[in-house]
Amino acid sequence: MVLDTLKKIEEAIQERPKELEEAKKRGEKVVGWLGYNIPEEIIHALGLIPVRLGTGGDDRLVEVGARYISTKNCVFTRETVGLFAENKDPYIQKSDLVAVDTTCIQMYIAVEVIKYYFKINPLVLGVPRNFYLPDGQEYFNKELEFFTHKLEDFSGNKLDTNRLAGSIKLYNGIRKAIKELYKYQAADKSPIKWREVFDVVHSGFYLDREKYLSLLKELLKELKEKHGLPVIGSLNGDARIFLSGSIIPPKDTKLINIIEEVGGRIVGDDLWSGLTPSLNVNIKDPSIKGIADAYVNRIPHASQPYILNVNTDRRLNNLKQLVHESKGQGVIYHTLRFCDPYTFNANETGAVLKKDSIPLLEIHTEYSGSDFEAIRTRVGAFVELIKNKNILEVET
Amino acid sequence: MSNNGSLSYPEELKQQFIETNDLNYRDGTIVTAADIWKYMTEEAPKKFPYAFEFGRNNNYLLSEDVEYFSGIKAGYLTLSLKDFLINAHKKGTPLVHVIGGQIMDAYYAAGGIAFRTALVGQAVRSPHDGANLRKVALYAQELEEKGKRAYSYELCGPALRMRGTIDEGLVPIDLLAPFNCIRCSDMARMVESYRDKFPNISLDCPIVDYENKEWAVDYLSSQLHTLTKKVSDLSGKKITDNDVLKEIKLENKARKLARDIYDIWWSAKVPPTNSVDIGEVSQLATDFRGDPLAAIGVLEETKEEIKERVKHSIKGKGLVDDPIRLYVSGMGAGNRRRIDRMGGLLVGADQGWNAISVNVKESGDPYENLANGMLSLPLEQPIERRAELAVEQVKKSKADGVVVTIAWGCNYSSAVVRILADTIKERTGVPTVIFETTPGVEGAEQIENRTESFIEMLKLRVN
Repeated sequence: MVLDTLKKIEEAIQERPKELEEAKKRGEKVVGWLGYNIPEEIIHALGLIPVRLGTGGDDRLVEVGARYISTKNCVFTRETVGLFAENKDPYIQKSDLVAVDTTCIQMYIAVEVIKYYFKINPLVLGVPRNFYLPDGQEYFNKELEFFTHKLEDFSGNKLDTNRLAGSIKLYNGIRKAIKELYKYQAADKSPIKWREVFDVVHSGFYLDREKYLSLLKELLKELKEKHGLPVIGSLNGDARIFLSGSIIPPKDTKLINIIEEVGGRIVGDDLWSGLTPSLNVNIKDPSIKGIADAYVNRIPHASQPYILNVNTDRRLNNLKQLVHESKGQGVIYHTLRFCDPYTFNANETGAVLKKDSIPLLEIHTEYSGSDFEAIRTRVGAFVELIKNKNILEVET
Repeated sequence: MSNNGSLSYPEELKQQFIETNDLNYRDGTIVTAADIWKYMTEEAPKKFPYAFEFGRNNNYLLSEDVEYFSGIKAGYLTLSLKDFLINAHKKGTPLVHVIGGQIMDAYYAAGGIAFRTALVGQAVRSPHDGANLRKVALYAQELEEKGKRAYSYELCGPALRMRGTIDEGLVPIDLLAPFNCIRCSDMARMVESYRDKFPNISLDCPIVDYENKEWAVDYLSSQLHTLTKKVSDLSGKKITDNDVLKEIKLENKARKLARDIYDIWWSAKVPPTNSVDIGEVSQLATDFRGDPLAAIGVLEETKEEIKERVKHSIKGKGLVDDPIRLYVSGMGAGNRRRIDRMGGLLVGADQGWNAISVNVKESGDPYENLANGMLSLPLEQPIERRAELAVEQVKKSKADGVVVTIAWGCNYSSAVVRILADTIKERTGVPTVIFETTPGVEGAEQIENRTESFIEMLKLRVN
């Protein structure tokens, strides 16, 4: 079953570079951003156009980037540098300002490299590593104030509370719709695949945000009409795979293709390029502090080290909860080489999930195709194990 | 000085050596020069044969410049460190595991001893006494392997060493409290990995334009308060602002001594020490080998000794005439002794210079002063500003070439090396080379092949 709204979203994406070109002719400005903790609400409320930058899966661009940043940095940062070096990505071409936050130190340094070699002047938002302490939260609040003032200067507009309230409402709507979409893809006989939902999330990196919300609502309506409300009941013998770990950005389809090829069904993710940015964002009042508090208290990125008790680790608890809600039967934990925050946490994450009898398979990879067969063998075996478990459960 | 293929100190130097200054430790202990001589000639060769063993790849060999007495004392501080730490711990002094290159004033002010991962690596190369070079090399490999299995193949050397120190119980540890900073993410990960097993504090050193962001100073200052409170709770020492200011003054003295020594050393027409001995200076003034007072004693003697050598144009032992002067940006460029043998000389390193470059303000709010000091360290700056320091040092040290290194597993160094190398080359005209380093003896050959080739190229250029 092909969903009409998915076609519309695809068409909108095709049109988007041209739309941005026209917006720029009208004097509007585009802010391209990299990272995890940039609050788009503020960019939007200042009348700027936010675009989330970065793609993956292109080994050639990785090589281009590696002329400036070493092979001991993760492929996503290398490809990002490659994108700027080549300067053919329409969203990079159209960005009037590049913003980055310091959540992922590698990405921050990659932007320093880009600044040096490609003469951009980035705007940097500092993110505390002690995000769970009042001092860290105060630091982030001040950083966001500073960041906002710089954006005000750039846009020529002052941040208006009413406009900010409007932007928050818009983004809350987007986040709510994405969460709803994730329920549909995990449902029985679902008319939409996780992969399609993942692509829809990525469309939101580029599309005009009002238009995006309207398309999301239309998609949800279509799903409801064609499928009813999402219910996750019978497992139907599917090997239900949950994806976790390092970023899987737009265009990086290697692992996703493999999982689907060997008969696995992805039913959820906690990726920072997937569902997680839409979770637990509770903005209590339309102000910089309201947004800072909400962002610093949402699900942390693995780059933000949490040194208190493992049982209170929100990232791990979120993972467990999402696996449970989506009825995931096994976690494929994707780590990019030299993505330390996720790689170093793999053993601990596996141990935590094991307590709930959820198996974890770590796939450590890059964007090259040389490990394709090795990954396929491992993922295939993992999927088979889950399928066999399902058969045994039915028989008993 | 050579005895059965081992380094030894000639008896005829003994009298002259024992007339030099005693070492005064902050707990009141005095170690006489005679005690040091005895230790270095009798006890240490038995306990640490690897530190005396001549061998092509022995990066752990003490300096062969046996007439450079402050070098012998620096060696004593290193080799006796394990016993020193264990004794201090028994007496109730908290031992705090930190990251290299940071300033340590707050830890010591609160009655603790701060030690960095690499220092433990230097002091405890084997859990057992009597290990030769081969044994310590195998042990290093064993630690590396265990760490990689426990966490990741991509763990950097210092993080592997931290894991080894903790899990193998090489020295007692009371608190994990390294700074989390831009130039290292592995340490933060390591602290996180011990979160339910060990007392810890995360000290977040915020980045980006701190001079324009007083809130960054407030944030770090507040964390320094928490740190000193935690360490003083462990040590039982009540701490006042005045105590912290006194410690700043003391450690500023060490930092200034080190800077003065480098200035004298760089100004010399004939290099007064070899690469091993000059490399010790910045380390002594950064980690103090566990005792700032004792380290200052050695640094004061170092300064006088180097001044004398410069005055009399005495060349460091093991150097060729007019060696090729190499500056290192990043972690070490291999076996310093072998570099000397290749006709080179290591004249400086930005990582070593990092912590000694700062002069912390000695009046006012000590925590704010320390926060400002921390945030001003060159390695905590955006990369273009760090490169500025390297440029300045390359010029001052009259380097003929610059080696820019990537430490295996270090995301930071791997990202910034190209900018560093390009900036240095563009601003000084000095040739640069980039290469990757791996910890331990086993990777030494590759590193040294590259260094030697670079030195050969520079010889052609200079001559």
